Amino acid sequence: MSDSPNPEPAVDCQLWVDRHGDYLYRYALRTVRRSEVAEDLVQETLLAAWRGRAGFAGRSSERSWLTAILKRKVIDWLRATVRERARMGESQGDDFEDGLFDDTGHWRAKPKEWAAAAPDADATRAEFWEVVQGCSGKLPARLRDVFVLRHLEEADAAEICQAVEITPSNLWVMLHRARLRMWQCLSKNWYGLDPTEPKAGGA
Amino acid sequence: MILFSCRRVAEISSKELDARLKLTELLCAGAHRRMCAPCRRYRAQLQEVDRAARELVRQASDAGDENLPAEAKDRMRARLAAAEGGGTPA
Repeated sequence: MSDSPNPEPAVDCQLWVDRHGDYLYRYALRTVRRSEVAEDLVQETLLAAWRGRAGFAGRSSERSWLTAILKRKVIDWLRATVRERARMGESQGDDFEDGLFDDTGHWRAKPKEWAAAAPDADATRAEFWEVVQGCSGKLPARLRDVFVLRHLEEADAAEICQAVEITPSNLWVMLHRARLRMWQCLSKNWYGLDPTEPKAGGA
Repeated sequence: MILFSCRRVAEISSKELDARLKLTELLCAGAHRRMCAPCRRYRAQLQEVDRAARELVRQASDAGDENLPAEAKDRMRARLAAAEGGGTPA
């Protein structure tokens, strides 16, 4: 391409759809978990990339450039969703947490060693991620959006609070509840230990 | 020394992943965990959960086999073609 006299790098943006569409869609799907929203975000990303193509000087690969734009859009969408939900004020008690502890605050079923029940070597890494992915998919949307945002942003918790207009303790409570569920789900589905008693249902 | 319940200590094990703890939280949770193996385990396992979650988000596009639906692709190509047509002339 260096012997081409063309002053403007040829960009065929319709090819992006074929080259990167599925990849970007999976990224959006894993993070926002709603297929219509994921489609919209991919489309917005491609249009924004087209408008901003002058800024792409080939410093990174086309794919990582597009992914960076998409990531920004995912973060904005999650922030807006969490902010909107917080404004409606639906933070209540948590039955799931109540189910893990008795009235005096003791574990109903004490956490057991994970390593002792670790899966044997033939269980592949991919299977582990499958389980983690499944657990994250089972989180209630209100907790999952916050949980994903926390791990997606290269911002500390204080900045997230500011962006979504919630108090730090509100954020900590939601993350705590999300992690309790992830912990229970991994204990059960990967390590074969179920820390929830039968009577404490409702995930 | 104030006695913290396992429930309170579990909260603190999560909070420390997001913020600096207050001195009382640090000391009381530490004292509790020295006497409580389940809460020590929970804290270690929660840190595993945190690492896994971070990694999960990082590899968001590598997992799964869902494809962008064909009609969505067609729609996007059309939108991009329109943008190309109406864009700045070369």
